[in-house]
Amino acid sequence: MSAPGDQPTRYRVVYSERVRAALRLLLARADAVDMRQVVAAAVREIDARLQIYPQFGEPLRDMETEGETLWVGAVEPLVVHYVLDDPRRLVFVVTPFKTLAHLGL
Amino acid sequence: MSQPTLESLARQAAAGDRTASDDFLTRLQAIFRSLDGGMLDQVVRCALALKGQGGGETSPPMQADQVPPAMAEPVAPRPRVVPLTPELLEWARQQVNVEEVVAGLREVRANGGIGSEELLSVLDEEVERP
Repeated sequence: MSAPGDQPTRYRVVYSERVRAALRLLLARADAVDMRQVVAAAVREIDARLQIYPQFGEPLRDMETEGETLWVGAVEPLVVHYVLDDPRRLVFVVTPFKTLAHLGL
Repeated sequence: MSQPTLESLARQAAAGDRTASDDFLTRLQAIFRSLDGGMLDQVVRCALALKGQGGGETSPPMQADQVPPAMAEPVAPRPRVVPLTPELLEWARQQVNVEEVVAGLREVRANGGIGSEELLSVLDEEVERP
């Protein structure tokens, strides 16, 4: 059993301005179908997972910079593409969240 | 104007400010939603232990009309991680443009990007908007 305070170092998650702007639009769309809270909860869940265990998704391909890999993860109703820089414990989310098609968002 | 910290809201709430109390509980609830079951259990145990250290003082149970709106709302179930089937992975590959990702990386390296806390505070603003 791990001792209290014996927490692993979290990954630092960095989002682009474009992601933030797109998130506002996504929440507005979600509001129209009464899913604003659901989408917000999914974003929080994604962020928490990226900080603690970004390997929850699947790798798609290596990036040009050594140590960086493009991943994808999905938390209903969202899909997130992210670049994991494991050696530096960094996660970059630079393209907007996408929605699973069948959910009407 | 920047948002008050949780700590300052807690102090205001403890001093009897009802609005601060509601804001504090709303923000706490958002934090609790991000925790997994195990962590939530630890938070509850910790809160109960602290309450028990109050020199034997106990608060009477809340009446229905005293429950702050933030606590009266049902807590939404935790979002589900979707297993990435081969079909979903293929769809995800088609959805991403690597040049776009490279450009995005360049942008956040140039301007620092936005951290989790900042993104989630934007989220809170949008969610609380009527």
